Amino acid sequence: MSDKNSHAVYFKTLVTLSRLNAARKISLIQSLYSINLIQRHGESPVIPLASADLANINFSVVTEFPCIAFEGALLNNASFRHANIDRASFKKAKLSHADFSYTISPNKQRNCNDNDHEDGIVFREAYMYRTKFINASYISAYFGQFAMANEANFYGFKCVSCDFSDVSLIRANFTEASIQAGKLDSTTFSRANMTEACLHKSYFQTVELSDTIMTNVNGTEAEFNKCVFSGAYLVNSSFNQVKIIQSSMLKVNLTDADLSKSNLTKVIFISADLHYVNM
Amino acid sequence: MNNSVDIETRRPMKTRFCTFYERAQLLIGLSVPIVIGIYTFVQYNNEQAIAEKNRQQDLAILNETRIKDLELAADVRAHDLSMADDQQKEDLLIKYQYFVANCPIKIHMPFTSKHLLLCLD
Repeated sequence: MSDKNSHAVYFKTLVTLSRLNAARKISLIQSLYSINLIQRHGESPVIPLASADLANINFSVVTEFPCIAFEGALLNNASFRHANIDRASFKKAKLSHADFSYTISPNKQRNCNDNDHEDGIVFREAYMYRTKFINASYISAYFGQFAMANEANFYGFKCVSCDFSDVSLIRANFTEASIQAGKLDSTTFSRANMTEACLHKSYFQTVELSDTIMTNVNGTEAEFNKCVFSGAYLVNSSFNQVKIIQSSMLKVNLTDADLSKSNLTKVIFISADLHYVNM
Repeated sequence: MNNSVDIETRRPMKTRFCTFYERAQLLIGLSVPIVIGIYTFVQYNNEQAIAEKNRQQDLAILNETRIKDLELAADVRAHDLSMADDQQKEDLLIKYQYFVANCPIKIHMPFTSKHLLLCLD
């Protein structure tokens, strides 16, 4: 399609969506999806859904949405509970209060003709204030690059090879979450709750963990490089075989923590509580 | 003859007082229309009150019926509007689906201005 024609189709889609009710919006999205017009295709889908008003829509009734591209769509308060959104793209989407609980992205779809470097579900630059990812399970997810997920709920969230780089996760809830082999570069976890989270083999670089609750965290074989743990609460956590490099531990509570076989290089401990720490 | 008449007319009339019997008779005679009058007045008032009450009831029923009719009309109108809105949305969706189905909007398909006009028609 030429740009001119593409714009005409895009605007017609936007106008139509803005005038339909929720049930028909779902019907329209389903029909576009069934003929492969809103799937990830290289840079953008055939019909982009940027700025499309899909707020407050319950997509849980449609359980299969692999490869769908909701890039830039307005999905505030939308629900995808229990849906299969394998390798879907929510790049730049507005997802405030949206519900992704129990969604899955097993990264098995190979027919999404998209960029190789984003081989998985994408939330890049999305606005995810108070978005719910309760018990969601993803393999390869990209939350990175200026996404905002403050106060988001990742309770019981399971993700292998997730990228949370440059994501703001202030006051987010990661209780009982499992982020294995994750990449967290320049991520902000201030005042987040990571009680009983599993951070096995994850890589943290210049991550802000101020006032973060990390009780009973399993951080075995993780790596923390240039991280700030000021005021973090790491009681009874397991950081066995962890690598902590050039990080600061100001007023950190490490009571009963396990740092055995760990590699601490240029780590600054100021006013840290190191009672019963296993080093 | 004339003399006798004068004599009669000049004779002072003797005042005649009614007897008790006559007074009672008069009183009874008067009481009947008075009672009938009072009864008529009371009956009239009573009937007036009943008529007013009935009128008020009729007005209330009428008012209630009018309100119900108005509510019903508003409901019917709202339903009609909802139906019209629903139909409009359905038409919009069908029109859009027709547009998508008839437009060569797949990748690499030729899409000319003629096609576009056809699609947007």
